[in-house]
Amino acid sequence: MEKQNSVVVMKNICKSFGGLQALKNVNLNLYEGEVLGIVGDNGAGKSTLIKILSGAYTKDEGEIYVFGEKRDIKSPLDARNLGIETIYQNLALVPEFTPVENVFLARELRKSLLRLRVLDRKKMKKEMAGTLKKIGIDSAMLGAVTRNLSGGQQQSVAISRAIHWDAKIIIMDEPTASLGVEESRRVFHVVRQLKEKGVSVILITHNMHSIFEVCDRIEVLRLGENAGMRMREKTTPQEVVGLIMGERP
Amino acid sequence: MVNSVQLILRKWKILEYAYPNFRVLTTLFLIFVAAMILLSNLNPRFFTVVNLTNIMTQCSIYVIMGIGMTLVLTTGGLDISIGSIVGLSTVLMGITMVLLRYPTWAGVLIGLAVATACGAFNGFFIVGCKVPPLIVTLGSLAVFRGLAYVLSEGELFFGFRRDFVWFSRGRVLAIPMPIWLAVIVFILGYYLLNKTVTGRHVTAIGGNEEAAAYTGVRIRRLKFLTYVLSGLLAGVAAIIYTARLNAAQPTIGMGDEIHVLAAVILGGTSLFGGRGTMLGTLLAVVLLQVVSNGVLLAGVGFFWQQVLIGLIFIIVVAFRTLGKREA
Repeated sequence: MEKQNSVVVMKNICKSFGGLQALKNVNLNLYEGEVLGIVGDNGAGKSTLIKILSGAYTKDEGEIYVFGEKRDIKSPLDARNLGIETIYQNLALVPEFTPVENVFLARELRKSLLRLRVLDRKKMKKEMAGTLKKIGIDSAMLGAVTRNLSGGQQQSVAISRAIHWDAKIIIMDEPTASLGVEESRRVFHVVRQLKEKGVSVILITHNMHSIFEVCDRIEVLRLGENAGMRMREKTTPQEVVGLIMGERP
Repeated sequence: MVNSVQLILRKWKILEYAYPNFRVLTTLFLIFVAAMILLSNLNPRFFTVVNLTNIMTQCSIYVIMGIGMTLVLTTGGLDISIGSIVGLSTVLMGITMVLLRYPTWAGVLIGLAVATACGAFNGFFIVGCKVPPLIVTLGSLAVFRGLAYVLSEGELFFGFRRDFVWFSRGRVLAIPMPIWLAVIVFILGYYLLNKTVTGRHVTAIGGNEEAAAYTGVRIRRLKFLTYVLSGLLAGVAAIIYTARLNAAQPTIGMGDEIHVLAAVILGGTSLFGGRGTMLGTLLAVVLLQVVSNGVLLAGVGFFWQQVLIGLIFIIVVAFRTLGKREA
């Protein structure tokens, strides 16, 4: 295994919801420019773990290092300011907003009008068209409200929001769960493009096919604990399924 | 000919796609124009400067409260306590300015401060304690009105100073003060909702609160702010009310929350958040006022006026819902 730089290190992360301990001393390493798959059964703690990294939840115990520095991620804004963007399973888009408004939500561009700070819609639209071009998506949809877009187009909006800000770390929670074959393929294409640019991607999925298609490394969680890590080239779907189910070799 | 009609229809579709409020606003405007033409023909006294100024002056209170209500509804919230805030604020102004003979500026400031505090009270329980807005403001509707009775002991305060009555009877450039106040509040509200980051975030909260939270919108702070603003604007309305009657009494503003809520929804703001339009609120308030005034002038009794307004409200919203289902 070649020597690589860690961009994210999560150490001994614990999280409880009421009496239920969702995560027990979970560790996670993410290297520069890799695609890390996190897999596990329902309730294994995958979503909880990445929501702690993305700032949606706060951890009870443990430490998070981003680019080697210890960081306290208390809110989604903290995570985004550290260069961590997340594509949530439900996409987290505002249906009544245009794609541009969604991409720039909480990071709107402003201009000065008669000494007042107002939204600069024109500039935001222009920048977003550039981003869409980068991932090879038609910018015709920019005129519509997000609610009126197809599932695949909405996914594109969510992806644009993540990559627009030149994030170094992108988390994708079940990105292909509600997509067709062609649309899933496009998502994988974007993931590979990101990887080529040196972006580290965390992919959470149920889908074995997705894992073996794009991931370099696979981290298995089971019942809120680390259940094993495998390199993609040195494992088989059978072995990974075995780890998910808790069958010890 | 056919081609150009098709072209117009297609243009319309595109507009609707990009601006969800477009249809609502044009429909309201057309109803408004139709009502104006009809009412002018029914009674020659309707379309006169005096009568129209009168209508606009009556509108001002509802426009001011409607701007606050629009903000609250846009976040997915609700504030039905504004009528009671008006009552409490009025009583405080009566006590300070009539009973204690405070200077006008002090009385007005106290009235506004009390109204703002009422809004903060609502905001505290809704945002801080996560009690549903309907419950909190239903409770505070009773609390604020009750306090208004307690503090005034049910009494009427009258005989305000002339500089206070100016808020209702004064004119600047021949236009009455209430209209000026409403115009200023409307412009500020329009600017806030449509041109600022805060406005975008307020709308995002109502549209998808989770999405707003995940992207880093300061949800709690903004929700709190909308209730505070709603209270403050009820205070501004209270100033106009009190100055107009030249008297303060605890029953003032009773039932206004329903009128304002109806107008805001008629204007196209969603009761469930995520869509708010200041222009719609303005148009709807004026429309309702024009219709009630015109109907009264046409000789239909006051009781029928209420029936008619309620029916207009239901029918317009029903048409809107039907239209949406087809699309």
